[in-house]
Amino acid sequence: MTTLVTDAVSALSADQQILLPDFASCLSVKALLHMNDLHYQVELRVNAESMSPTGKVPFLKVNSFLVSEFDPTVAFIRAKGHSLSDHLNKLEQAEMRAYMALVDSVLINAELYFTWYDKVIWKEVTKPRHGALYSWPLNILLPLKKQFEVNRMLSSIGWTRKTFPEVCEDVKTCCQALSETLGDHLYFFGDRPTELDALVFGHLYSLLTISLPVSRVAETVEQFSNLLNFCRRIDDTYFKDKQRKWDN
Amino acid sequence: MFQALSSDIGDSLKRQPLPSNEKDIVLSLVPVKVEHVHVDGVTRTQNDILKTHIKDIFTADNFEDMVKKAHVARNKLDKLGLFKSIEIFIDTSKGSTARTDGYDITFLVKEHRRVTGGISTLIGTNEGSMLFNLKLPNTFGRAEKLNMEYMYGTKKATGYNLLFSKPLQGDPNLRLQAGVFQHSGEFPWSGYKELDRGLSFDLSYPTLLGRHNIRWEGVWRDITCLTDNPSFAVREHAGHSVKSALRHTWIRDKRDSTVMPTTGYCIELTQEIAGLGGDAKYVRHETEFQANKLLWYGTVVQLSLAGGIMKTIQPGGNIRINDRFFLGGPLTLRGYEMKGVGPRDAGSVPGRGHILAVRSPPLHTSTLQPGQGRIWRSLPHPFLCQCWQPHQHRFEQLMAGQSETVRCDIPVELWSWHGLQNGRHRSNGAQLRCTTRRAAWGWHHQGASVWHRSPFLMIIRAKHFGT
Repeated sequence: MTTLVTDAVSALSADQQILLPDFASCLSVKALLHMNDLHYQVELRVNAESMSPTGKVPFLKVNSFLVSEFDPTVAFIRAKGHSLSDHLNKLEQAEMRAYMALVDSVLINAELYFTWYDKVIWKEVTKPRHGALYSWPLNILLPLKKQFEVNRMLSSIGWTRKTFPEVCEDVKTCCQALSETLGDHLYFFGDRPTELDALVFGHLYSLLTISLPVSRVAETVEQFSNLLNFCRRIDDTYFKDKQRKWDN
Repeated sequence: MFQALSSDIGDSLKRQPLPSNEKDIVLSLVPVKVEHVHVDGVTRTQNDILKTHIKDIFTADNFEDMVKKAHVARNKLDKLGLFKSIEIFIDTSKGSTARTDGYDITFLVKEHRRVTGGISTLIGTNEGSMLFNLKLPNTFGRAEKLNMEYMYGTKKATGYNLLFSKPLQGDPNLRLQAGVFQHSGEFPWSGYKELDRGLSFDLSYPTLLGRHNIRWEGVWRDITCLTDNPSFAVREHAGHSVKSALRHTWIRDKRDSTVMPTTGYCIELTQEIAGLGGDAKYVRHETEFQANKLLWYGTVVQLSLAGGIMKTIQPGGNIRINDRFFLGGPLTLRGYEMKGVGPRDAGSVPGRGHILAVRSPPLHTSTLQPGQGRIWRSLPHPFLCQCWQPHQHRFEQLMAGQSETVRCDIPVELWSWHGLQNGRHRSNGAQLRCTTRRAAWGWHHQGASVWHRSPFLMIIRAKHFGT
């Protein structure tokens, strides 16, 4: 029995409450599980971040094992005998790792930057959303506490010196690289999905669909039509179809 | 001139046998008019609080009454903590306008220093800590107290506490307190640690039936897992929460001593309602009862009972682990693991929302006489001290909600005092502990041990019993 615990109070308000980086990583893990054909159940908890062993959502609960974040999840399900990248040769696997590292270092940091560092998004989206689950005075204190932590992390890697257009430019460069690799293929490595596909899908789909007061983020990704189609395809194959199958 | 120093001056005057050649004076018939009361040595104490307690002396009309009233005023001022020392001088009035029956009373006082402080060490549950203390007694001259504490523990349990207290209308028994605090604690039996930051206000007042205390507390609690892999049932409680709770406590304490009582009883009732804002929403009741009876040869039998029940007031709500009841350990059920009674989930104790316990008596300071191999020899005469614990499995059933009715065996401890020896109050005790296995009738003796107790020595249990 696998339970995926994400950060939200209830299924209904999840979409209104969850923040971009959390939504993206949850979606990546969900895509990964779908691609491995692993059945899971989503549970939403207010304190999911505190419950998680690494302090990040989502985390998987498999019996008494807890696995948090994307890479450890990949390692965990590989140890259990499920892998999407075994058919790749060494070179391709190394290439896949490199792209995953690229996504980690660019897209994830960009998401954190948009969500926690950009003043407009912080004020209009992040602060009310992050605090929504708590009562006064935690609804004010906890977003500030988290903002302080994230900003300290971003500043340690030099991202706080970047301006908003510069970060968008970084995202664009990353998408450019991904777009060129994807080309006309169905997936990054041929016609079978790999872990990279799950990761990229989670982040790009989130950047495209999440509603932010700044539309520039989505526009940056929308320039790449093959990535757009890629997201749509995975959504259709692994989410809409799977969900229909599960519901039946 | 008459100097009144002793605290029970009224009594000693009455009891003193008078030499036969002197005239017998009945002090209550000596007419007196108190003309002046001086308070000497006041620098920052305000006049109004002194007047409140002193004005009663002027109503005295005989000598005995005057002395008693002066003494009452002294006690009140002493209880307020205004002064370090208070001495009373009573003298006849002097000067041209002085009446023949006129008296002047002088309170010779010494105020506390503006700032006092200290460093002390504490040994608590599983950890030792240093306590740095700074006090501002009589802060604004009306018996206010400001107390600042900072605690640094060996296991990183640090905390601070800022407490301001003020007597209302100058009454030493009616105190209003306000505090800001932060403390952290580790709860290894449940596998979590908690950091609390909060505000509190409390008011305590005495009544004929006992002492009441009303307290409001607003606390931001942060629970984190203590180990990498605690039980999921405990992990589910990790995170932040706010508790805003109003608590009322009533204590009626009729014991002769709080530490080693020989006679009297004590009842404590606590009601708490949480949910005036914040996310912890529950009502909680707790009761404690203790009765002591002196039997023979200084042997005391003590009975303690404690129970509690709590209920969430939020539909579908859950009571957090840090609000729940726990049972076990020297302060509740001696002989069991610290807070270890009840169902477990992967080694951790998730706690319960209701509890009913017949408590064993609290562990007093006890130690095995160091350096003495033959313990029995040091005992003046034979005695027996017994402690029966309730059936553990019945508690488990109760806690798990499997058992509706519960039969408990009452733990009774007998212990014996042996008067003063070398100026120290010594008492000795032996404990025979019986535990039961699953079979209901199988009381079997698991261990016996003897300890010597002296209230002035460190606590070392003679033998640790496993359950």
